[in-house]
Amino acid sequence: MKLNLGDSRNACIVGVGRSVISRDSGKTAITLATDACVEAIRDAGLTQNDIDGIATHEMSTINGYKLQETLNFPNVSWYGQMALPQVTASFGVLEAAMAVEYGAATYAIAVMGLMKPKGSGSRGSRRDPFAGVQGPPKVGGEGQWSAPFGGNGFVFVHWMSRYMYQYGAPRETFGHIAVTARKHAVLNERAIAREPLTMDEYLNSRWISKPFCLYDCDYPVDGYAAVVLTTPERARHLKNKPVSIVSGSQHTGRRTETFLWDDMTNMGAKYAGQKVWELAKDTGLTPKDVDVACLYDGFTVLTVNWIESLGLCPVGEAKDYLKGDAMQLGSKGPVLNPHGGMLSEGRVHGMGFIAEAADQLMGRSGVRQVPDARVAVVSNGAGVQNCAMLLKALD
Amino acid sequence: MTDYRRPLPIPDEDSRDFWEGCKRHELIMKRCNDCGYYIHLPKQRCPKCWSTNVGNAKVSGKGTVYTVTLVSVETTPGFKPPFNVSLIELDEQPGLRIMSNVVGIPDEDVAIGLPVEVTFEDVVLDGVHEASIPLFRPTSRESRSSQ
Repeated sequence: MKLNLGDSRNACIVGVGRSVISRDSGKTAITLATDACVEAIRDAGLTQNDIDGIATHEMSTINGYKLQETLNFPNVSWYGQMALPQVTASFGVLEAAMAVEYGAATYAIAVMGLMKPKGSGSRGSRRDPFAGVQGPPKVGGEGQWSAPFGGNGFVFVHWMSRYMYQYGAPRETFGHIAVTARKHAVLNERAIAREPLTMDEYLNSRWISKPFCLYDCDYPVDGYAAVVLTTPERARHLKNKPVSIVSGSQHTGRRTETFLWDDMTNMGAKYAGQKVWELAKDTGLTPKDVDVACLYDGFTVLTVNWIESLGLCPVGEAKDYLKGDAMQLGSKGPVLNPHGGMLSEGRVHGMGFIAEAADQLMGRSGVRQVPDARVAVVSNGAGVQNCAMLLKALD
Repeated sequence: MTDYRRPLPIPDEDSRDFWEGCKRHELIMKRCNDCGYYIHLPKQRCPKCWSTNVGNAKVSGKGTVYTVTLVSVETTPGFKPPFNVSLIELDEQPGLRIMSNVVGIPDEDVAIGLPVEVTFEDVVLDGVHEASIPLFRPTSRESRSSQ
């Protein structure tokens, strides 16, 4: 976790970069990741020589030496590789922020992204790891508890099933997340899915794994994003409005045993969501102050979990809260994923939320700018690793 | 049974007693000999009290459907969509859950709260009893009244 050290010491995001986001880029992961890094560094007005800290994520297939082979930073003094089995770009950003605050790095870059699984949606894809195997495949390790029952994949659907049962939430609660994402993505030129989506279309779309329908699932893409961090003092001399990282929580829970969590309606968001506010207690900021909520939406149920866990509405009451224009641009309360999230912009695996929150607080999001955005919450994760961050615009 | 195409487990040091028990049509779980906590997935140290005094215990195989999903896309050989994947909470202890499939009723009828009991599907390939897979069926009237 990252403690709130006050405006004069909390690390700041000063640059944001993204690769092209596409269904099939025809490029390698390192090409896209370095595109994002170069854009972020130039956005901050910095150069190759300035970057002395690097945070990468194993899951993105990018690591320090791969970046170095292309970007050739001569002055690296801090490097962290997040070896997490699940998405949590925020972990890298928080580690980099703490490295900056501690003085281990002066300008650090954190990069994360993902390539669409090859052949996704067809046989031989990630969802069918047994394609071509003769006779019954044999599965050891964690898979022995799910594969014999056809249970590989769609773990989180059990959370949605239980949530709906326990709180009496209708499908429309989750549909509101999908419809809102798409409504916002219409305004995002980078987004992969920009056609408006109605609640009827959501309700009538095909089942993937009931209660998950097609629009409950995020959009696999090739895409990377990066942010540059530095101290607030240095940030004030750079061209962008600094975005202060006030606090950050990091949590880990069961993985093989995702289906054995004590509370299967709220996953690890419950811990990370509460902690991020506890850590920011001295600031006086509360969930009521949130202007922008960039919340993980690998599946719609996870976003509902985060909304409740972060205190944007009481636990179990999303069914009453997520109605009408709630969390949409132009509404009174916090705006959810103005870029369209991974459901519509595409699965830039966590870093897309951080990039969007930073752009919003810098006040440069164009037609989808949330007016006077000052405070943002960002969340990453889905039960195994969970991470929340509180960001604010520095004056 | 030679046309059985569903994945089979590879037992390891922690799970061997479970899968061997299934072959005998017994649901065997690890249980802490000190605090009595049932431990599943199997492990050699009790997550509740940290005791390493852990043994095997036969459970009743009775429980209820805790969650269910109806999988509508092809994911696994031998499973024709739509099929149910259910989490069964066993009667012995709150939170003691196992992933399985409910059989004996239409997949669409499997619902949270349904009382179920274990049944084993023997997988015999080329005359070798490879494994028995623990599945669940709605609790029969007889076994319900005997509770």
